[in-house]
Amino acid sequence: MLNFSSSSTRYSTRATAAAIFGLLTLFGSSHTQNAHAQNAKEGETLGALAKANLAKPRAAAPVDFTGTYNFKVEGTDANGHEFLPHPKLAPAAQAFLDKKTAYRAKGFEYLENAGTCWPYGVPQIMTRYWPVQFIQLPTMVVVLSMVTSNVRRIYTDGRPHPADEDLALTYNGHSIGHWEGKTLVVDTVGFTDVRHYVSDGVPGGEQLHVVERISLGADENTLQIEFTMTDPANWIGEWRNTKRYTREEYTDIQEHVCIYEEEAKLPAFKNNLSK
Amino acid sequence: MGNRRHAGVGTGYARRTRLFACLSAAMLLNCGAAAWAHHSFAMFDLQKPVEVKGTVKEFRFGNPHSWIILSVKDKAGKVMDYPIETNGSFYLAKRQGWKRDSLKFGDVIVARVHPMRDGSPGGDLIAATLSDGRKLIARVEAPPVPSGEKK
Repeated sequence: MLNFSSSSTRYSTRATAAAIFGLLTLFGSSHTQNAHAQNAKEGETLGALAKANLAKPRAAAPVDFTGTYNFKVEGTDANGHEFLPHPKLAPAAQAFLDKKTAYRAKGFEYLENAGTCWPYGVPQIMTRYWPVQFIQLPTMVVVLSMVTSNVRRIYTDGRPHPADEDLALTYNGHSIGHWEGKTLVVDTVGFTDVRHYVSDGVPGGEQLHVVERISLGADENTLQIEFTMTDPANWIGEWRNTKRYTREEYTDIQEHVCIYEEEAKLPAFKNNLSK
Repeated sequence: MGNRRHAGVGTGYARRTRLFACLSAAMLLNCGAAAWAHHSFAMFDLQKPVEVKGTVKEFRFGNPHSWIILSVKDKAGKVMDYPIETNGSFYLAKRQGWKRDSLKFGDVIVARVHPMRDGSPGGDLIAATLSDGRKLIARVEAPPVPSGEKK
């Protein structure tokens, strides 16, 4: 079988080939379509939804997070969705926040993403006004955040993050998860620094590292995420914040798409400045 | 979704200012949270709601925003577009009972909005009243706060 626990991010070609051969033999010629999908190239990891991956023997997950959750407004900020209080920000990040605050006091926005259809990214997609859904599979937890129809994939099949040079830098990053008791610990790296904000007015960069400790309350109706975030380019030390969510049994997610040309018709659009 | 044909000219442009109830940060939470969700609210004047009468030219029922383009007359009688944004269909339907056809092309409405702070046409919808008296609520408006009392 493939060795996903190797600290090396490049798997042995021989081991992969042997594993594929073994799987082909296992599934036999009647599974030609399945076999076709297993023609892995060098360094490729079995997909999270590959039958062979899903069928691998592994310990049952201690908690099933599958469900729909609404963000619970708590905390010290005006609407609870941000990660206040801020840690001590690096000078450039503080200057950016100051500029944004000054614009806002005059009724303007400065480089705001939402009204111009730029992605929120992690962690903000976890704390917006719309629900999040968790779909838990043996190999990954899929998180659907309604805001701009976001999808997060948290791989729990034992794979490591890709090697740094293989990481595409994105707004949601690359997430892997493991269990510590009944807590799912999610580790996310690989973020872009292009208009990516960790919290309102605070940029996140390529060094951003987000750890989320996700757990369910005893009644299984309250989801809790303890965020610990570091980004030495933008703030000093660990930025910690805990968010809670309430299970919703009578809610589903609707399509949510931000269309630039339509946003441009709205009154708020022209007050969002880029200089 | 909605009807995007051009409508006839609106029936006038009424603008009156009322004392607005949201005085404290805690109250703003109730008033503004929904629209805040997608983008900042900094450009809207939360203290001075106004009422705008016009004819529905476009209505979009969707997420992240629903929105209305009203045809209104300015003080000089010139017809202009008055864009109004409001909550996404998700919350309008779930919490306020709106339907996809709650507003139709040609409907004459009075829209109560938080106007743009810079005075340009446009605002954030609080509620719309149709000519038959039906009232479509977009957000729960906070009850008046007795003077001198702040939470």
